[in-house]
Amino acid sequence: MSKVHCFTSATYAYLDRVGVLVETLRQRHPEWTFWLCLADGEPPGISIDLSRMGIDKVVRVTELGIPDLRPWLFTHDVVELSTAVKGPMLCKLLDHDATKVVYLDPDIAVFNSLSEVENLLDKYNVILTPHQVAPDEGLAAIVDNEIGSLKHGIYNLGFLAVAGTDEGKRFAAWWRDRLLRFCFDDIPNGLFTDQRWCDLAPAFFSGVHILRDPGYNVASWNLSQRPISIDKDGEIRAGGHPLRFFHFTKVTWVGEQMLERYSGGRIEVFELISWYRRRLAAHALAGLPEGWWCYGTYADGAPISKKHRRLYRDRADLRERFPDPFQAGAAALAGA
Amino acid sequence: MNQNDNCRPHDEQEASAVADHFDAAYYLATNPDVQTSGLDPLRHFFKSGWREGRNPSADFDVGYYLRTYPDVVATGVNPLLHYVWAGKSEGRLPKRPMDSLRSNIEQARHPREKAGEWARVTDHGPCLERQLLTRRLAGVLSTKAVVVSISHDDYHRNLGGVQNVIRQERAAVERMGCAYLHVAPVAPLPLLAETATAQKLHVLLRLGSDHLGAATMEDLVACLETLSVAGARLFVVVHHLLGHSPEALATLAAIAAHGTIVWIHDYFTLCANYNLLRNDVRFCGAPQPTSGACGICAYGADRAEHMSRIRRFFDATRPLVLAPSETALEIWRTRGALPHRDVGVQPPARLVLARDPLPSVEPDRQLRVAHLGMPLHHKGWPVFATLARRFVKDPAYGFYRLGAPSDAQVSEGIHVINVQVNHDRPNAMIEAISEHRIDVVVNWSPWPETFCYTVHEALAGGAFVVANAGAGHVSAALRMIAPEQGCVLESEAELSYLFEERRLGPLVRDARRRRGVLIPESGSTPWIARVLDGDEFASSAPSVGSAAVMSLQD
Repeated sequence: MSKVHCFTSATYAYLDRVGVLVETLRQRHPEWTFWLCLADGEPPGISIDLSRMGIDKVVRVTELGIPDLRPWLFTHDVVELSTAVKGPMLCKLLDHDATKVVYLDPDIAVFNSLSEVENLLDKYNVILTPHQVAPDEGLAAIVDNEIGSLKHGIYNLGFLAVAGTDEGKRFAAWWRDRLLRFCFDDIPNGLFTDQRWCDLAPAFFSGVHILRDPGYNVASWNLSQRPISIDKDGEIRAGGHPLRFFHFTKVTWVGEQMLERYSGGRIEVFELISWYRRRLAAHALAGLPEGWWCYGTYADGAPISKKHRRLYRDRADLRERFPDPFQAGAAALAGA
Repeated sequence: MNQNDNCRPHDEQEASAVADHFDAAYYLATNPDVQTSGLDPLRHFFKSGWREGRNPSADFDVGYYLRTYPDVVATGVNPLLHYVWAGKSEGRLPKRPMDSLRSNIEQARHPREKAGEWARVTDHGPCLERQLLTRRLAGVLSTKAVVVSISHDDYHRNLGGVQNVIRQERAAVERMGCAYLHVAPVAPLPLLAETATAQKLHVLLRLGSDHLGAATMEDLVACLETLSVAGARLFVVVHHLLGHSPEALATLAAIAAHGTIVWIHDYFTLCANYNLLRNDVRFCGAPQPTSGACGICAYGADRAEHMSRIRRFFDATRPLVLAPSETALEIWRTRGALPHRDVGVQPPARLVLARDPLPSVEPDRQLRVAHLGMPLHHKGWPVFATLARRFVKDPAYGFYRLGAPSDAQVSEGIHVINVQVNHDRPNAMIEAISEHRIDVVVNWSPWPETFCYTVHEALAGGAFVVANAGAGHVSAALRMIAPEQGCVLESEAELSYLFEERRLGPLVRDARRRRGVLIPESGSTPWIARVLDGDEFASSAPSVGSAAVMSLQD
C-alpha cells in the first residue's frame, strides 16, 4: 500500500491543537508521514522542538516558493493565510511523488482508523466531506447549517484527500492557483477562504468522491443529524456510525453554544469537548507570547488592521510603493 | 439605621413577578455573606446580587443568561426579571442544558490528580521494627487461624458499606476463635499504590480492635511468613485494593495456605473509577481500555496498566471471588473475566419484613417523597433534586432529604432531616423513615450498584421505592425482595410522568408496604468456617442469594 502523507497547517498559537491531532492520528496511523505547514515565524527567544510532538517534517510558509511573498503574506489575516498555504503545500507534497495526501485541520481529533480514506484514494482522485449529508428540519437548523453551507461552501475543507494521479495533481494546481490569488473571507463576493472554491471541484474534475459517511468530519454544523453516542463496547458513534474524526471548531463559549443547541439532549458530545480541552491543556506551549502571530504586526509590534490589509490588497499603487508592507515608520505603509 | 435601610426597596411588582423563581434558602446557603449580613435575600439579589453573578436559584444561572443573550445585557434589566417577563415565553434558557452533568464532566479528573490533593497522613509514628511486630503478632499462634483483611482505610474510624462488612466479619471470625488482622494504607489513595514502592508501602495494622501502628508491607509479609512457618493458619481477605500494591499483596497471599478471598464491593478491579461512571456521568460497562470511551474518559489514561496489575494479582492468587449481589457478580464476570478459583454471593445484610402490612396512606394526605443519604450524583441526587424543584409547588407532594446536613444543594422546597447512621445507631435511617412518615423513596443511582443499603433501609422503613432500572442491585433487590413495595422505571421521563399525572399516589396507596429489620451478615465468615471445618475452600459454600430469599419468607 502506498505511503500516506498527511499534513496540517497552523500558526504557533494553534500548536496545542496540532499536538492533539498528531497524538490521536499517531494512535491510529503511526505509519503515515505527518507534515506541518507553519504559517508563522518563531517567537523571539523561544525554541520549540516540533519533532518531539510527533511531527515528521515542517515546512514554513517561506519555503513554499510563493512569489512576492511578503506583500502576499500581508494581504491575509491569520485564518486566510493558514488556509491559503494549503494549496501550495499540497502541490509540494504531490510534486515530491506522494501518491496519497490527506489534509486535516489542526482542530481535528481522530478517533478511529482512516484506512477507508486510504483505500478510496486507490479509486478516486479527490475526496471531499460535505458539511451536511442530509437536509435539516426546523428553521434554526436550516439557517445555521444549510444557509451556513451556502455561504461558506458545501464541503468542509478541514478535510481533503488527494491522490497523486494526473487528475489529482491537476486539481491541486488549480486549487493552489486560486488560493494564491483569492483566499479571502469575503462572503459578499462569493469567497470564503479555501472552501467555496471546492464547490466547483466535482464539476471541474473527474473522480471527485463525496464521502457521506456520517462518522467523518463531525462538528457543530452537522451534529443535528449526527448525535454522538457511546455504545456498550465503548465505541464512540456519530449518527450511529463509528466516529472517525471530530472537528472541534471554536472550543469557546460560542462554539459550545452551537453544540448545546444541536446536542439532541445527549451528554456525550460534552464529554468529547471536555476531553479535548484537557488534551489542549496537556499540549499547551509554555512561554508562547499571548496572541503571537509573526505576521500580525508591523515591525514595531503595532497590530495590522484588517482595513490596512484590505487597502493593500485592493490598491496596486500601495503595493508598488511599499514592497515590504510590514516595515514600521513614517515612510512605511504603517505610517501612510 | 439598620442594614436593610441601606437597600432601596425594589418595586413590589417586580418582587412578586420573580417570587416563584427565587429560592431564598438556596440563595442564603450559597451566599453565606448575605446570611451573615441579615439582609433580605430577595432584596439583596435585586440590589446587587445579580450584578455580582449570584444565582437566585439552582434553576437560573445569571452568568449563563447574560453571556448567552447579550441583548439582555444591553437593556440593563435584572436577568431573572427579564426571563420571567419575556425570556421564558421567547424560548430563552434559564441555564445551560444538562448543567449538572456537564459540571460533573468538567470537574472529572484522573485519580492521580486527585491523589495529590488527598490529605497526606504522616503522623503515625515510625514503622514498627520487624522483631517488635513479630512479638506483637505472636499471640495469633494460639488462635484457630488468622484472617488478614485488606481494605482502603481504617474501618474502625470510618463509616461506609465496606467498613460495615469488615466490622461484622471481624466480630464473626473472632467468635470462631480466630484472630483478625486488618491492613490499610497509611496514606489513602484513589488508585493503586505505585509499583515501584510496593514492598516499602506503609500500612496501618489493627489486630482485633487494637491499633498496632504502622509497618512496611515488606516487614508485614516477613512476620506473617515466620508465623506461618510456626503453624499459624492464614487467610487473606481483600475487601478493597484502593491504595494498596497488588504486587505486595500477591507476596502476602502466597504465604496464606488457605487461599485468598477477593470481594467485589464495587468495580475497582475493572477500573480505578470504581462505579464505572465514565467522566463521572454515565455508566460505561467497563469496555476495553483501548476503546474510544476510555480514550475520552478522565479515568482512561492508565486503565490498561491498572487492569494489567490487577490481572497479574488474580493470576497469582486465583482467589475465591465474593460479590454482595448477583448483579455485581454478573457484571464483574462478563466485563472482567479475571482468573479466579470460584465465585460466591454474600449479601452484607438481609432484610426481614414484617408479616402484616402498614395501613394504606390516607387518600388526601400529601405524599412525602425522599432521597436518602448525601446529595451526590452517583447516588442519584440530581434527578431527585430536579424532580423536587419541578413539583415543589404541587400540594400533592412534599420533598425531603434524610441524611447528614450539607451546605451544598440546599433548596427551599427540599426539607432536610438530619439523620446520621453510625456504629451506635446503625438503624437511624430506618427509624427516621418511619418516624417522619416518608411514603416514597426515589433511588436513581446512575450506575449498577453492587449492594445498596439505602434501598434496604427504605424498604425496612416501610417506604415505597421508586428505582431506576439501570441501578443494578437497587432494582434487582426491589424485584426480588419486595416487588409489591416499589416500582422500577426505565427512564426519567417515566419518573416525571408518574408525578405529573398523579399516578404515584394510587400506586403507593395500593401497595402492600411492610416494615422490617435489616440483619447484618458476617462477610467472608461462612467460607472461612467451611475450610476450618475441613471442607474444600468455597466448593461447598452455601448459595447465600437463595438463603437471603428464604430468610424473607420466615
